[in-house]
Amino acid sequence: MTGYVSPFDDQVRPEQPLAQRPEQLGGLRVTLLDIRKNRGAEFLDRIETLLRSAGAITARETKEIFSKPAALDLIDHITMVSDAVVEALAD
Amino acid sequence: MAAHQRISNGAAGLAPALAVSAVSPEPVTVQSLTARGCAVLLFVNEDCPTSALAMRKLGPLCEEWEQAGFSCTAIFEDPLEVAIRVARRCGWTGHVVSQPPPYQTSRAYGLVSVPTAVLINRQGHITDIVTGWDQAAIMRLIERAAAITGTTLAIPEPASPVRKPGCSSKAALDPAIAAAMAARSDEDEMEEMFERGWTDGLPVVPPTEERVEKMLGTFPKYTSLGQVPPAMGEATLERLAACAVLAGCRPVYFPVVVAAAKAALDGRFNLHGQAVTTQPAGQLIVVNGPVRHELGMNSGMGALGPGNRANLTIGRALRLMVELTGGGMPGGLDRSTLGHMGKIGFCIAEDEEVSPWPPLHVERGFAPGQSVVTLIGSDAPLSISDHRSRTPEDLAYVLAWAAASAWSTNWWPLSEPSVFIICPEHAEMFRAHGWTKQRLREYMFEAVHKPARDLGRGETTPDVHRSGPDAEVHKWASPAEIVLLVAGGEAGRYSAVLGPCTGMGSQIVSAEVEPR
Amino acid sequence: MCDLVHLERRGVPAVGIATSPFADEAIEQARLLAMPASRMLYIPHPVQLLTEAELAVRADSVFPAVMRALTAADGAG
Repeated sequence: MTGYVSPFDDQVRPEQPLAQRPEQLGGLRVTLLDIRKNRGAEFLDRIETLLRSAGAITARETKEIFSKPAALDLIDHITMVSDAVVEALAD
Repeated sequence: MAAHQRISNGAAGLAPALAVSAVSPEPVTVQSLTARGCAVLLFVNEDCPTSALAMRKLGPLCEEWEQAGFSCTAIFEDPLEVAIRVARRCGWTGHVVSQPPPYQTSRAYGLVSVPTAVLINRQGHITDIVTGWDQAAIMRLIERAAAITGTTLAIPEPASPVRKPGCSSKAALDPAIAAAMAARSDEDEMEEMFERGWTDGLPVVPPTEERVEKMLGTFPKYTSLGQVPPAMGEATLERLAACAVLAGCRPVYFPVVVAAAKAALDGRFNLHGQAVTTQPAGQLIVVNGPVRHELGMNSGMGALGPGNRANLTIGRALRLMVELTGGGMPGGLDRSTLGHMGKIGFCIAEDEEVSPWPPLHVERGFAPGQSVVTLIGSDAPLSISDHRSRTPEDLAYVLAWAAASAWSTNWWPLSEPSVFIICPEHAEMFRAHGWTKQRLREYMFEAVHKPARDLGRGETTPDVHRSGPDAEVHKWASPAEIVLLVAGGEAGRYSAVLGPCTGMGSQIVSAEVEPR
Repeated sequence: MCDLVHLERRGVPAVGIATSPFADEAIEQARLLAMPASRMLYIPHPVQLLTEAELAVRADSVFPAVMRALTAADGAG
């Protein structure tokens, strides 16, 4: 060993599992989260139409700014009112 | 028995199952790949030049082959994001999948070396294997695929090299051999730093425990300044000291590096956005106060260029924190389309003594005697020559209009800062006529405007669209967007402007330099 | 990617949609955030200059994968 100090945070973070998925989305609340890049709103309009056809109840939210992770209070709010989330459109 | 031995013995075995991941969530199986005819699996890894050669030769043909029912999949012995990047660089247009250590799939196929091409028919039997790059053998494999699909398949251009040996498969590496190969690089510390990925593309100073201790001095090593986006690595002072050592800083520079890191990690600066954007954004550090002299920083001739260790290495230390601890490495999580050389490091000292005005840190509420760093997200400098203006009005006009195309020609107004670095000869013009910074700022703001009809072409703002065609639109949303600094050599009338980092709510953030 | 990971940690299934050049970055980011299974789907790049109809086609073609990513249909979670 050469005794270097690594500039990396080498702490191994244990892999986290995904959230439990429902069997289907009919009657469930799906939030469409717009990251505010150009064409994203239109794209989500179409996805929303398709989700409603599949029986989902939809809601729309927008990030305050696309280049930062969503504010924690927005995440809090979405968590309270959603059974699933679609976030788009990064280009 | 290795798969190729089974083939040569005439016993074409069933192709073993794949344990791989791909971009698409659908599972990748031998069955799915051979469903329309047959498939070639090209086992490769990032470290192997012959693998890259094979992908470059065959890559352009994959799409056409796919349509004929002959699918092509590059199976990398590397993480998926690495696989995608290497495949893209090699012009590979086929499928890309990744296998994690200990490379079960390579083992199952009995791989000794990469590249290895394995042809599998619709029944799931291996019908050909080619190791290394062997033009004649590859032609044979393609002919066999053509026979299976009953089509004509395009072949690569015959060109040298006709044959080239491959490299060891990661699955075949004996742990002792792997350790010996790693140990070999210890002979050259500089090369080892490159192999570890601890550089920005330039050589670095190896951060030995001794060097890092000296850099830290009395700073507590485990105190964290926060998480560095986008990888969210913890910026302990020890890690930051490692970055400062890597950058080539002297220990006496470290308090400035710490202040710069604190300012950069302030949420209002939005380092996260800057680290991952396609914009060229880099982090400009402006240093004010007595520390400039204590460290021998350069605010004079060549202030924006090479030549001064403190300027260069302080800027570089911060960037290494972002690139390494934060994982924001260009080409990786840093998606900057072009970037700019300031992203190696961009730290300048203001020439407060020559400036006729209050320096930046005093404008921002600090006392003149405080040492302060100010972080601004910015683009590369655009030089502004003016050797002829005889009035402050003319000079201000020239300086302001130089920035007219900053960010984009018709994207007016900008709500983000444009940083003007005014050279001493230009500053003297304003001093001689008693112009304050505010007067200059307001004049520059007023000087640059156009009717909306002249701003409609190409990329432009909602403001321009909303305005009547004759409405005057200014380059900046307000004079406050114009940041003014003084630096540069005493002779020569070249100032500069740095364009902004836009659309991410990044604010200018200052932090005091605290002594050890 | 950070948003998706936050939501999943809070028990909300989430899927992100990006254009294809984002893939390697999203994969690396997901791994660094210790949730490599995080769901991202990709549509061809670019989208800025598509007509409304063309954009709708992209949305339609990725929609089945959206449904699979958010339900137990693909054996997730």
